[in-house]
Amino acid sequence: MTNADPILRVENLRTELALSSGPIEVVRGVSFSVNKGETLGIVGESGSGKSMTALSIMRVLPRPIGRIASGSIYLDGRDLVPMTDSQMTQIRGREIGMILQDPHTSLNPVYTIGNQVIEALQINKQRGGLLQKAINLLKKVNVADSERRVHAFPHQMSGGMKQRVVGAISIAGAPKVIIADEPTTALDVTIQLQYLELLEQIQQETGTAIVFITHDLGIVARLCHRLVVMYAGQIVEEGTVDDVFDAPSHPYTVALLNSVPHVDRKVDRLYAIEGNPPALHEIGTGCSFAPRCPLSDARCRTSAPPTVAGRSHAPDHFAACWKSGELA
Amino acid sequence: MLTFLLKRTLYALISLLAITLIVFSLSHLSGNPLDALLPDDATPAQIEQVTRHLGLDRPITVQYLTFLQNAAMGDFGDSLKWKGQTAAEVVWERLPATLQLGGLALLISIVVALPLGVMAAVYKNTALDAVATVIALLGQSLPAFWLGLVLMWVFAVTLGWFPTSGYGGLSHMILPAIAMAWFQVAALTRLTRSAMLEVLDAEYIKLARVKGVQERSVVWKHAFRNAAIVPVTYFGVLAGSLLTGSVVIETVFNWPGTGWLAITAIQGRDFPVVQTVVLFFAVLFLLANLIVDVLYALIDPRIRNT
Repeated sequence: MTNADPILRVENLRTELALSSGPIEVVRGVSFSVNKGETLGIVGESGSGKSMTALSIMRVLPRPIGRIASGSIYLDGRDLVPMTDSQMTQIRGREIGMILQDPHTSLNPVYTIGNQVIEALQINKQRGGLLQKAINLLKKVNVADSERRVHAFPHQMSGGMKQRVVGAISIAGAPKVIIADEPTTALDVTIQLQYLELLEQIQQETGTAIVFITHDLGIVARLCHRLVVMYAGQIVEEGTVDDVFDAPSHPYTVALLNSVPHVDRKVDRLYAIEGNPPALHEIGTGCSFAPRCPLSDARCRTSAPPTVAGRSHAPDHFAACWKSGELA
Repeated sequence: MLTFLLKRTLYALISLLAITLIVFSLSHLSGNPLDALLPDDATPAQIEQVTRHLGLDRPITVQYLTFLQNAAMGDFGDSLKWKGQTAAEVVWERLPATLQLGGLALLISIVVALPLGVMAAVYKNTALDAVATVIALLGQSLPAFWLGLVLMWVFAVTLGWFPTSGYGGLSHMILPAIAMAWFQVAALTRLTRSAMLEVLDAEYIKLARVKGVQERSVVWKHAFRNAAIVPVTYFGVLAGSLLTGSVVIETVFNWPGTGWLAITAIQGRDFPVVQTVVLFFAVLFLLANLIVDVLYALIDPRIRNT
């Protein structure tokens, strides 16, 4: 897969939240692209700006404090950033679908499953036989007994089932891109794998691109073709899953990979990265990971790091680090 | 759903029974009615005769059951103050005026407060929100009698748009209804606003937006129905207090309602009328709360199925 065919291209995106203590930048110049039929993982800790990036693309930032300060988001060649809110309503659900993190809270408790799926179908200009179409859509996401479940309320279903319904809603308009924001985090481990298989199946059938936001590198290895690693609102490393896992080129990525438990390696204590992610209003001019980085020196703390080729030397593997060459 | 309704109706009936017991006991705690009925120089024979006539010599349980039986048939005894009329007749005469005025005030409260509260939440921290806050602040801090007098002075005396006071058609009702409703508008607006703010933060609102639902539908279909539980809960209190009349407003606007009647009957120790008024009010409150229960069930399936 090459970068020749990007369906979604984000360029130098900057997003601000106007807090009472003053505006802070939560997404700080993020650029990436996703190709047709590709799954891109966005990996990072809580607060790294990965969800804010997704909400910026959908333009459903927290109201009224969130706004895109600058940058471009090209969907199939058209820039979404200058669009009006009502134009964006036409894009959402039709051209980009989204799956939220917690299925227990993301379905409206007072409407039936059928009502909520049918609403998504109506938004996508489907008319007639909507109930049957909703049942078919539920079957597509493997909701068992969907003829009966279509009349159920969310509180009558399990978390895994609800997340399948959210999946059905997200594909109702056959979108070009689906953004999945930690869709399996709230599910039982046994259900997680089933859900990932469902996403793969949907992708194979529809050819949609998936942006998969997670902090779980195991899922990235299982599901994604490429990944970007985010830290403090910026992308610190980008590349194919194989390249990044084999030759991590940013100290943060190295630390993340070291924090993952392995079945075949017995350790007394899991590795943890020292310290906490920086508060976004405290970030100085240098590398934002410098305070926690074992390799950092004076230059790291004062000057923004350059984007360098990754250690795999693949043409699409990059890291933003002064010390990338010192990693081994 | 049917089981739910039957259960709630049964609860309402049990509450009603408890209220009759309280009403019955209170009338026996607040002094001997014979003192009010008979002149000070009544002979023991007269006292004996009236006591027997009213059944006051029988055991208290029998008295209560007789009271219940009569009340069930709408017989609350004769009014002591309004001679020649039964207590039920006295109250029945006044009830329409109170229900009309209270009904209009209720309508105004709901029609104004719900949209205002919803819009204040949707346009949080804007000029519209500020206007709603000012309306709410004024409503909760201005006394109703003062507001009534000012409305009367401006719109009836100075502008001459409405009659100043008295019982009559819609034009007579508007000013007192506004004066009564304002406080409730304030309370209901604030409740609706805070409930909406909480719901608008919910994940399912985010999901509605990301699936491409129009903003108007996000607010009214997805958010308002969930937020409505809170104003609906207040509806019980709201309907109860407005429909049972307001002594202050009825006095200011010379409106012949039950609020005024209740005070007069209490002052005149007219127990049958007081009992009747209290029971009517209790029934109104119970009905309002029964409606609330039904609305709960209609709004939220999780309540319906329990």
